[in-house]
Amino acid sequence: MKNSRIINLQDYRTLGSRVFTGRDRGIEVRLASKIDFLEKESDEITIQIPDDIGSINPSFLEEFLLNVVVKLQAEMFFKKFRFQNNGRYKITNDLQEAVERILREETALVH
Amino acid sequence: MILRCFNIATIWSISDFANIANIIIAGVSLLLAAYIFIYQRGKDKIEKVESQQKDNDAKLETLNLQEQNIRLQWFKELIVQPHLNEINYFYIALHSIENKFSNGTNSDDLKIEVSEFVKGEGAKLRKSFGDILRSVTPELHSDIKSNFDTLIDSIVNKIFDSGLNLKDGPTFEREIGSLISYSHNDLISKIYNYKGI
Repeated sequence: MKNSRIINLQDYRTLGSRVFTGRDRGIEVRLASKIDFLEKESDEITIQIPDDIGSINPSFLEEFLLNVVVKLQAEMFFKKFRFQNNGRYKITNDLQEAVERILREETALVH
Repeated sequence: MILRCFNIATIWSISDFANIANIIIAGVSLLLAAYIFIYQRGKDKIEKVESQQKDNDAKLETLNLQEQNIRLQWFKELIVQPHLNEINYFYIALHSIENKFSNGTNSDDLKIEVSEFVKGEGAKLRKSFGDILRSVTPELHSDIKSNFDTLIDSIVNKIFDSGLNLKDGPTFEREIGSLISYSHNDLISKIYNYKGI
């Protein structure tokens, strides 16, 4: 049986805000949600996005997902992480952009 | 004994003392000349080394300046000029969202559509212009990335700020238009101030 965990972004939402933006906020939510630790302990992680969210910007996602993407790389990351997204906003493009940015930064640092 | 002393004193005449003084003066002069000679020779050596060092520094500075000029020339020709249209298009596209708001209903769908458009334009410019900068000048890349991220984040925040009526032209200009212009000016300033180092 798979050991799965849930991170509900509702828990880390700024009161009244409909967006997740900014690198600083990304770092805060990464630390508060303990996503790096949960990734080590779990086979599957579901990230729940509140239905009324309007945008989760790549700048936020880049910092929020930094360590897990660097560790897992794109293919494994998309296998292990599920994004539950029932509202009008769809995270796909922003997620793709953030993962690409993280991996490009990492490649630049390695070389 | 006293008489003997008087006898010696009478043996040493004034001219003898003058001769001894002359010998001492000549000796001191000789020592002084030798000292000046050795000191001057050392000083000349140091000056020569310093002068060579200055020449080397000047040559190095000239080489660095030449290298800097070459880098600036390549930066202009390979990075800035080919992407100038894309940069200008990016800012024109961002300004164009004013029409989307003035013609639209300010609904959630419109807000999501416009924010997707803004982020999409940012991603396009990042791929075409930002990523090239990283390999050439990481510091400038970081500054420009921060400029784009701040702009896009601020616009998205304003779009979803329920207290703002973005259909109103002056409100749009005050809340979003000014941010776009500021970002554009900042980008130009950063590129202009790039020294090629």
